[in-house]
Amino acid sequence: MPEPRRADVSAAGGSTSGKHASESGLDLKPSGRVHVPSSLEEALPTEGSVGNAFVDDPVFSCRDVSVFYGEKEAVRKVTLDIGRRQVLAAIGPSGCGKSTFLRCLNRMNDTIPGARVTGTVTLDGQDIYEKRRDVAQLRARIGMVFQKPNPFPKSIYENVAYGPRIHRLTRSRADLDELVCTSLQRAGLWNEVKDRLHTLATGMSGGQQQRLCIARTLAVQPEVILMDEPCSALDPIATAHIEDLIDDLRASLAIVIVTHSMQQAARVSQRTAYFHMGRLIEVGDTDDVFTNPQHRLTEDYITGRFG
Amino acid sequence: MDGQWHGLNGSRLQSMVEGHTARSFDGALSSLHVHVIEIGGLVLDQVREASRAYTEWDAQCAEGVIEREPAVNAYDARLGEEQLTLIARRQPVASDLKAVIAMSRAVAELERIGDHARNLARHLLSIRTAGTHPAAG
Ligand SMILES: Nc1ncnc2c1ncn2[C@@H]1O[C@H](COP(=O)(O)OP(=O)(O)OP(=O)(O)O)[C@@H](O)[C@H]1O
Ligand SMILES: [Mg+2]
Repeated sequence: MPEPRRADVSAAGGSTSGKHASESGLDLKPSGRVHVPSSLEEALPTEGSVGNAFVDDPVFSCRDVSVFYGEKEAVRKVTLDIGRRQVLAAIGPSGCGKSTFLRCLNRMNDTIPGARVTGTVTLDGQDIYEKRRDVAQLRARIGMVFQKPNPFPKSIYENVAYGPRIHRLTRSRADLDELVCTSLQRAGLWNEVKDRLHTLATGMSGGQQQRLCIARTLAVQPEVILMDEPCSALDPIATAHIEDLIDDLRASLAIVIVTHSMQQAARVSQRTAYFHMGRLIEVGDTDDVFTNPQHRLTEDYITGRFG
Repeated sequence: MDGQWHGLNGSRLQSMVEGHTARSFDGALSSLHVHVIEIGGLVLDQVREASRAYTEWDAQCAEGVIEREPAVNAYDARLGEEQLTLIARRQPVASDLKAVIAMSRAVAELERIGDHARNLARHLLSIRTAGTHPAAG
């Protein structure tokens, strides 16, 4: 069972303070760090998470998803929906399984020897792990952006044109030109590169390279983009560009972002999922998670009380 | 100050401000908290003294209240700075953020109460000059 919500203990004591708190409509009571579990194991839910793991009309539905690397269970029974046209941030300490979970969503774990996924993951209601599934086609619907920008050592144009070419998304050169242009525009990069489309992508700044990787993903018109720490190699301005882009993109697609920056999770996401030792501990509206986290482990992590 | 006054026992208080991985964050939060308790003590004294001045018709006591009032304001200003710095540098969330906001509100109220105590003292001095004891009607 998840640890029950901690009892609210009024810190203010006095009778007038209670009146003021309710008048202002702001609950400033601390969540009351009262119950101290005797061990970490006791604090971990054995099943399920607190908050709300479900959404109406999800793009992804994960049910009891576990991932093993050989004998080691790196992700344990995660049940979680991912909503359309919104950003879900996955946070948690290093090694808690965020990247492993993310890789379940586009079957990237298939490429890791010894990795095994159990449970079900559906995309638009269809099981992505069913036998006959065309994995290449699946991955075209799900873009992925990594921590380190990884453009091909080719021109900017060729980087964006690559996906549409192999998936045969366009019929003419003019179509392809247009798709490259709109993808770069959607990635907020067009104005910076329109005069040097045929120069090497590796000559761009890190932030530009990361937006190019997003443009490259957008060119195959995915429904979802998975981002694994997309800003951790970028400066604050390049980070702000990416965050702004994420905010624009969620008008048309779903984004799952793994981040070590709690501030970034708070800034860009509508829902936040907190992972701990392979378990999904808490998931809920970002507004709630950062003001009223329900699980003690979530609160300890976001307030920097960890280890 | 005694535990009664601020309504928090020691261990709850500790758990409210302590336990951060970065221990300097604990230090910043507890220093803020100590200063809130100090301004609380100061204001409590001001209120006590102001009412004593009133009931005992004591001009000297009222003057003391008026003299100490700038100290309350100075405390308030210093706490404002301390809160801003803490928010800017630590970006507190969840219970930490609530603690900082609650302390900020408490200080604003305490400062206001301090003003009232001073007004009471001033009033006493003016009616005393006029020569009418309030109890005499
Ligand atoms: N290819 C692999 N083979 C074996 N074990 C792995 C592999 N990849 C990850 N693990 C293990 O699985 C667990 C979860 O790792 P994962 O990379 O998903 O964590 P994470 O939350 O993304 O961490 P970080 O924040 O450091 O990126 C860790 O204990 C890790 O050592
Ligand atoms: Mg990772």
